[in-house]
Amino acid sequence: MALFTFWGCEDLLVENPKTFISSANFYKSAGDFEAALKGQYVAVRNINLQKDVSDVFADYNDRPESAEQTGDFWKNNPSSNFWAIRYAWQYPYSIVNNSNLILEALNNVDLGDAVESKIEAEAKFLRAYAYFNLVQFFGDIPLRTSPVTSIAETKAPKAPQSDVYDLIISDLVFAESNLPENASDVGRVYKEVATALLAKVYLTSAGFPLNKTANFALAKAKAVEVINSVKFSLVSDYAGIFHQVRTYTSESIWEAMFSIPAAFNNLHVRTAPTGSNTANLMPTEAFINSFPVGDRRKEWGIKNGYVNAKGHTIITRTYYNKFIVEKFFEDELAASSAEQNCEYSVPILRLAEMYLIAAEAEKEVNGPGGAYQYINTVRNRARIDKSNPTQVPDLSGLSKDSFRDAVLMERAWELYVEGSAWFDLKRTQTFNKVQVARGSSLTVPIGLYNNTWLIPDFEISNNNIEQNPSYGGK
Amino acid sequence: MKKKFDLWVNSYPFKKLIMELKIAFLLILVSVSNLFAIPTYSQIAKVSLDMENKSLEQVMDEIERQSEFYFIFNQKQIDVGRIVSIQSENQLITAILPELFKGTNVNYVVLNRKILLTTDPLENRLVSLASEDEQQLKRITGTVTDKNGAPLPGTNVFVTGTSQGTTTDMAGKYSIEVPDGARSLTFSFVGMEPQTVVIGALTQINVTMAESAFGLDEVIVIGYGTVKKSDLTGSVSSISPKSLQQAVPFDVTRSLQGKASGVRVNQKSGRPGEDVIIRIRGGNSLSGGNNPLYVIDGFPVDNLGADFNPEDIASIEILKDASATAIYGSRGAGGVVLITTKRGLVGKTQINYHGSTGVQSLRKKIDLLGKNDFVAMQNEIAAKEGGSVLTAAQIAALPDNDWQDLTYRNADIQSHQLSVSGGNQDARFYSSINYLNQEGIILNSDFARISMRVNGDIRLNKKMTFKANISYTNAVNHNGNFAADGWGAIPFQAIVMPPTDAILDADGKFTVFKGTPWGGNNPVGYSQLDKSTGTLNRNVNNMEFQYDIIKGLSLRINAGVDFNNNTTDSYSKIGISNGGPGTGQASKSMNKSYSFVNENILNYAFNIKESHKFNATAVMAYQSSVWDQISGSTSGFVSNVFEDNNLQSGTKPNPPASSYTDSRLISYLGRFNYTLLGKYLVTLTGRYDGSSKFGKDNKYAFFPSAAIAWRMSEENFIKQLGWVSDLKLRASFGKAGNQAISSYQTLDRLSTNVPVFGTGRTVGFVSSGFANQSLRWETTQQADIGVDLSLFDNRIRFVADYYRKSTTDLLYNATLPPSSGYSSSTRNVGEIQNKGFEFELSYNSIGGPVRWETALNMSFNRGIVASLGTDNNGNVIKRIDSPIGGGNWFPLFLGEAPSQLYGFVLDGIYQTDAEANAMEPGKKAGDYKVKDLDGNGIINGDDQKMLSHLEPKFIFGMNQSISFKGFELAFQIVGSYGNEIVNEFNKYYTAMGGKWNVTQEAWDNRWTGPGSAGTYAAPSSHSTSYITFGAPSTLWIEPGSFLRFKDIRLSYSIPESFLRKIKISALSLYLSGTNLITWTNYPHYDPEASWTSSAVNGWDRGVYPSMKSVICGIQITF
Repeated sequence: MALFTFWGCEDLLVENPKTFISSANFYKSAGDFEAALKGQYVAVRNINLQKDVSDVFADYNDRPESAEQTGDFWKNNPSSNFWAIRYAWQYPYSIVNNSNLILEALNNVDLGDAVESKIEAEAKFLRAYAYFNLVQFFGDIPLRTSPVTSIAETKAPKAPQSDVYDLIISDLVFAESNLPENASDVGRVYKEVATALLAKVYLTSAGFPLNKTANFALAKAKAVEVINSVKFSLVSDYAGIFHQVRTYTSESIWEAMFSIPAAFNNLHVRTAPTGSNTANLMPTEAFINSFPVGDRRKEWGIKNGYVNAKGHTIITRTYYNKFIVEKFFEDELAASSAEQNCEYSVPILRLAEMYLIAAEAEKEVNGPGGAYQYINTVRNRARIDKSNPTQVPDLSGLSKDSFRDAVLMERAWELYVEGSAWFDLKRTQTFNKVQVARGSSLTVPIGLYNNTWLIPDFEISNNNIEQNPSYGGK
Repeated sequence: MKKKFDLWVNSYPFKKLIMELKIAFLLILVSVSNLFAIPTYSQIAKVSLDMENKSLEQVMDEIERQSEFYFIFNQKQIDVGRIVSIQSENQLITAILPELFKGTNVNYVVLNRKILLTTDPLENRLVSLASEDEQQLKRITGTVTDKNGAPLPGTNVFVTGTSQGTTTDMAGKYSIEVPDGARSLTFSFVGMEPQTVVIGALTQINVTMAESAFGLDEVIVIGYGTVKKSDLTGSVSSISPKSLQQAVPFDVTRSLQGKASGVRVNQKSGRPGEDVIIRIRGGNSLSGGNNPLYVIDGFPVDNLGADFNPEDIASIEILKDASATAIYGSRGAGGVVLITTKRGLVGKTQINYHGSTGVQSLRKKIDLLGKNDFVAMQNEIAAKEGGSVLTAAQIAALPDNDWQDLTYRNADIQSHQLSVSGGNQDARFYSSINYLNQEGIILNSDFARISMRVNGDIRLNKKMTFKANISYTNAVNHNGNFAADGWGAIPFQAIVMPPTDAILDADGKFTVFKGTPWGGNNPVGYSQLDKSTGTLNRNVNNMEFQYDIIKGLSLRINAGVDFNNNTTDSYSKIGISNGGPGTGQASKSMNKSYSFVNENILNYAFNIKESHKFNATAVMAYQSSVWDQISGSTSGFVSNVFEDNNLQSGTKPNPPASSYTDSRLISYLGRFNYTLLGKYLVTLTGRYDGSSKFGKDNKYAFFPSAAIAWRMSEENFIKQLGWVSDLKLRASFGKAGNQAISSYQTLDRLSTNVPVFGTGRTVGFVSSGFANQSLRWETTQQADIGVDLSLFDNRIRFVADYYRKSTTDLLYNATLPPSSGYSSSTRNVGEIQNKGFEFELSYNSIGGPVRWETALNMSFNRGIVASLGTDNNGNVIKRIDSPIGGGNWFPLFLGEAPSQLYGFVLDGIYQTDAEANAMEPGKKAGDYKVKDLDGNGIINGDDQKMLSHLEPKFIFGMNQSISFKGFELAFQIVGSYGNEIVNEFNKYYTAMGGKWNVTQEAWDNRWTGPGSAGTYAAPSSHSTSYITFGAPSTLWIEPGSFLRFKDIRLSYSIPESFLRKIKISALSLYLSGTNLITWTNYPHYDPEASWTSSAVNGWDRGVYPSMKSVICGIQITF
């Protein structure tokens, strides 16, 4: 019968999906590449929602209320299956692979040099940003420069971190000279984002573990380049940097953006949850007391409880204010609802950090003399009363070592809860601050193993690479 | 030989309806046969005529002489003497007839060899034509009685070997017309030995029926055919209609529980409409494709649950071993459940009504703290930790709420089934309408179902039959938030809400549970404010055409569709707290799933002499499935009026979403049965399946099986014993497959995501998977040996089977090194083995005034992870995580039972702060001591091990029925032994932190100070900290053995002598109870619970508690 032969037709078993695209039909037009580049910013957003986790470890933060695994992290007893460790590995590598897909596909099209170099620059920038996150947390890591297209290719050995830094720097140098002056969308990268990230990369590579001290000069040069750019100026009131929704301030270099309901910023609940929510990030008494007199960063940025207009006490603990939506407190939004409604942008790079990088680098290269101008600019901005020089007074006359301590303290005051804390402790080898602050609360004492996070369990079980030193050293 | 036909005089409206139906089917058939391009006789037969001035009668005679055509007409209408002239050279009859009747008022129609002439409008004539039979009929009458001489109404009387038959009336009398060639009549009645009587010259046949226990001549439905029970080589459990009726059948899958060995049914929860976990001989698969395949009247459907009306079921067969399931090779790995629905019987039209109504209530309440103890707990913590202790005055002002009492209610249930069936020897039908309305014991958790069915059978002629099964269901499920812990889940909130919390706060809003970060409104508020309704509309329609080509050889063509239209309507009112924005949240989603199946089955049965019997079946099948969904949601409402009917009125719309998935399956299969001397049986099957879901070179797989059986009872040395009715040894081996993965897993994929820039959300693309063309079928091999034994005229029956199953190439979403940019891909990994022993034992008293039937089944299964494959480096994988939904805590370990809880071992309680701090810094006296399993002096993630044993050592079911005169007492016992349950609730209601309510038992046995005998950690605000609270530990493990009187039913049938006066055939009344008696040490609501969102069997996260019910009902047959 006809039907019998009809079914012999093999085409019936061929799949023709309608809800996704195969790479064979994609990466053709400039629009395809544009969409593929934009898609990367979801992982960028996710990386920057993990900032609170590395900050939990900072010496200025108290034991998290959360019952979940951040507690172990705070106690210096992490497990390789800790979700934040998995994410810190997985999100950047997703960017690496997608960038590699884009870069390889670029070989097969002809969109004109101008368009192609712009695409290449953005893909390389994103890859460099991803590797910079990875290399700081994990040290030696698999270094992939081509996309993974089969199970056989999923395995890759560790590369020395100096190789990783080499790739980061060469990618960023290319990006810096080929990215556009202005991004087509607010939130996407442009020339100065590469410059600013280069400053940070040079500063980091000048410290532990590479100790390429020659890079301090490069770090300063790049930071000053950004400072001198007419595009940026410090926001006069520290509070004005934050609580922005999908707009940059004059200080913003690069920020991660959110839009409810699909993409929300959960740092609101991580820093000051209402009602029964538990906080991950709570300032220690010592940190609160460490601020200079008249410091807006403390007076606005760290709040002690909240009573709303109705006279209801919403929060009793001390909390960080940077990502807090006070409207939720006024509306008495249910604890569990608040998480999904915050859409404040999260700064990734901002001008104040460039000043602090310039200060730190200048001090390392030429001593404190020329560095005060940078750090004091940041301090002056922090004054509640700008005309009162006794508030957050100018620094002067410090020794090289005291100046280093002062810069690091300044970074903590200026950048708390913005994800720099652990990286700063590592590159300056000051983990012992955590030991001092926490003492017997640490399940495992600070040791050399603290220089890397554990590689997530799924990587170890599927790739033939060695785990980083285990905490406790046993 | 012209035939005269009588105009139809028996114009019963009903009979007419049947005939019209028949015509409709006939016309469908005509078009179907055109479709299949089988030329009819009238399309090929040619006639040559050269007749001048002859009478019409002469012309018709000549046509009949030259061909096989014959004319049918009424002489009063047709003037056969009319003179005509006609010439034709090798013309089709359709060309000749217009010529012949030009200018007359004669209408004609050609139906194969029949030519109908009439002056009436054609439709009416067709009716009679279809009933026309070429054979002479003979009428036989008689009476059927039991051995006491009482009439047996409802006995089926059939012409042997045909579907032509009738049933006896109230007085046991029947009357049947049999064709000339009919040799014998067969009489059958449930519970009686069937009898066959040769007709010969008889016109009256009276029969006395004898009771039987289990008939070996009983016909068992197997895949793509039927077989006599005695000839069965595979392992098949049959569930009779009688045992299905024992409990009030609201849900077919639930009614499988305890009825057959090797079948484990776990109810998961008490929510009306909830589906069940069914595992036939253990779970094989990681991908979740462990449910059996359901085949309804030969039509495979992908899922079956409460939407199917169980009262339409005539019988259920469960295929368990490879020999039985391999015929469904592509999807038989999880076993096959064959459901046969009721069909019409020849005879008087039967009208049945079954109605029931009852009340359901919470089966068991958990003993929680009342206000006094709860406040005492809070004060004890406050006193110890320096908090503020509540004063007597403050305490007096607090409410004392029993949240379980406030949440659970008594709920009504009612069910009505009306069926009408009947027919004559050519057309039979069964139709039913069913209505079920089951309230839930929680407000807004009701389930309502309306289902209808029409099953029709048409005999077109001696060789052709046509069947149609049409069913429709509308099921509405009010499904609130019952699933797990938190976000307002009602069963959870009903336990943890402190008794001192009020229902409403000062502003008149429902209070919120404050014990966890993710708390929601109290259960009273939640059940009122949250609305989620699932509406299912499902059509399962299939048609079957059978053509008996020559004796023994038949062709069957099936085609059917399973069309599902689901709608989910959800609305959370403004102010409700469930993790959402709390500003009113509405969502509506609709999905359609459409599955088309076509099967073409050729069967040939033949004998060589009497001693060699052969039966061969060849099938070609095609199935396509499409799934199509659209959904939208919004929050930010200003009014509750719209709910989800006006999504555009919300101020914060989410992007709309839609999806589409399709898959196809092509199968070629065959089965060969050989029986030698009625003693030695061989069955060979093979199925070659191709699935669109697999890689280019791996789409097809072959699933063979072989079985042998030896009917020892046919050997003389057994026959001589006299008391062995049946003894059969069976052995089988074979393979079956599984393709239960999502479509498109072999392709590389770019999917969209939602980046956000200054202008808001936009769309981006990311790679979400690379191509994996090596994906192939998951294969289950099974070996089975079994014995069937019946003794003493089948009074005692025993069936035992031992099996070993091994499932390889498990389809599993295996992790990848995330540095590849991908976290996982679907792969074929590892092996799971199941082995087990199962038996069924039954006894049936025959004769005597008291009839006793008892059946026991027991099943022992052991599952083990035999391999997890090797990793990228060739190392043996010893553990993989989260293979199934929500199963992060239930990893797979090489060499262990699959999916067991992994966590810490609690080893008593620290007696001093020093002891606690030395081992676990931060802990205090009175906290749980975690065992340092690796002995390294540090408690961390390495101190975890496999904690649970979720699989029972054995499960059992027992069905009892005792009847005396009109009374029958029946009950069913089910149970399991040796299993544990992960009662995650222990982390809440034994953790005395003062934020939520706890059990009286935990409070009474708390640790109170050094040397205290208390086994529960001391009340303390940090009892909610990580190790105690969040991490899985031995605290969660509870014994899960139970024995339960699932159903108890007492029924009374009104004597027939009385009913006869009121013209009712049968009437019975019953009273039944469900879940009334349970013995178990499991402390939570129900040992049959399991979290509905996961395939882990026995993980209780606080599911909808089970109900007990008392129901009364009536069954009437007219």
